[in-house]
Amino acid sequence: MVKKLLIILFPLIILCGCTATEPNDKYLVSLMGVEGSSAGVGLYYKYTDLADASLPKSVSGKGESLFEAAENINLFLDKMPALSHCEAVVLAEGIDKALFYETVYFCRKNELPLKLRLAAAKDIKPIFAEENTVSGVDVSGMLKLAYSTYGFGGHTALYEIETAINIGKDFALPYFEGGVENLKLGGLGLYKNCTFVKKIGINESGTYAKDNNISGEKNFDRRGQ
Amino acid sequence: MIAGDSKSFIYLIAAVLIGESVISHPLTGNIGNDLLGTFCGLIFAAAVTFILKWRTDKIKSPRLYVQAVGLTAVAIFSLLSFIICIMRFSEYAARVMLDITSVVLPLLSFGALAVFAATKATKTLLKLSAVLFFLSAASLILTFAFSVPFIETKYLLIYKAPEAEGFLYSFFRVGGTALLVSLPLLFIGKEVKLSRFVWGFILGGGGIALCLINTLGIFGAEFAATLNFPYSYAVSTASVGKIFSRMDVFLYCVCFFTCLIKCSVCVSTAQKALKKLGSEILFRKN
Repeated sequence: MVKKLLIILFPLIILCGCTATEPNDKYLVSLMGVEGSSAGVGLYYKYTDLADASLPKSVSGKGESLFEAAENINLFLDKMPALSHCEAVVLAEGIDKALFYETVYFCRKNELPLKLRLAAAKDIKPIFAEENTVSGVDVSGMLKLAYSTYGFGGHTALYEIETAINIGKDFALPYFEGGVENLKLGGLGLYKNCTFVKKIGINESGTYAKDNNISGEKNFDRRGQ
Repeated sequence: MIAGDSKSFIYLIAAVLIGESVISHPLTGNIGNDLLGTFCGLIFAAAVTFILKWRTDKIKSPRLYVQAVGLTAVAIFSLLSFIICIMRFSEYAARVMLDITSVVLPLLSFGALAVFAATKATKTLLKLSAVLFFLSAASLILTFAFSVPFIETKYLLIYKAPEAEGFLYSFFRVGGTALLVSLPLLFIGKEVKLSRFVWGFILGGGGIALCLINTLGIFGAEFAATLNFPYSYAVSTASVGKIFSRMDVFLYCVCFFTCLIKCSVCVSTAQKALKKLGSEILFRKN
């Protein structure tokens, strides 16, 4: 009788997703970018179409808010973007505190992974340029390399930054610079009260991370091994 | 009622205690409340259960009205536990497991399977609970082992004194839920030794402790309290190299197995209590 119950039980687990959308019916977003201006908010995705295994593509949307920008992107794309495997979010230097909070709220509302990395950039357009084939996995890899080589870039997971915000602690995000052809990590972008203050170079970043106790990184030590 | 004493009763108690606590453990934002409140609530529930078990073992034949009240309480507690468990499971399934697919059909299948299992002999339920408990325990231990590199010890230190309101909330929410299931188990486990209850509580409490430490160690009490399903997010955050970037499947297994056995046991207990209430007290032939 127990065997009969188990025979009924296990197929139910795998049958429940029968009407769920297949991965090939979605675009897998691996990298997200946010910028703000007087004209509104810009949202950028780097996504991959699993159906044709092509290189990552870019799409962007504008709106009064991130949610409106996301809606505009959804209307433009022929498949739904899946944000649940996003590896990193790059924030433009000029975003204000309100937009920073909105970005965090947007990530939580759309069930983005809590362990995704946050990073900053002077201008995010080169990262999301059509000819730039860098993906979220590449950005994540660059952050890991920065950590292992220079000792900075740790403790920048979404849940860690949100915890820092909740307790009123300042934080630092890895800072990307360069154009389409020569994108690289330039150091750390220092944030005070969720607003970008200044960027420090690579050599100073390692020391800064050590002095501020953000060089220890369990995630980077164990992931990808 | 169970015919005789059975070791599998330990696993039944443990699985039922863990139940849906893996899905929505109450977190208050203060680690003192969360850890101390939970453990004190479990100890309170265990103490009440053991004292009642010890007393009822000494009572040979209670009066009819005492039996009637006891059986009614068992039926109500069991049905209440069943409703709470299936509501929390359906909320979790709709939000996390099946965020696109409608949850109605899987929930009906789940409910039907729980009721079907409940109608079988208690021996079947015991064997099923033993199998499902071991699978759940293996999943819990595996996810905890993989989460250890992500746990920050500083998050597990009680640096703030518990607040009365938060402590009592954790205490009664955990202790109350445990009592709602353990008291009816006294009814179906009349011939079961007290030591089985003790071990059941130890194993069940250990499972709940693993989930709690896993969640609080990764996120910290303040952040974890902002999450709808804290343990679910904690398991998603931990990873094992490039092979397992997310371990959600282990969590889904634990949720499904423990909720299923809890629902089955609750329905079975309520059914037996109402049957006895009807046949031996209300419609007794003199």
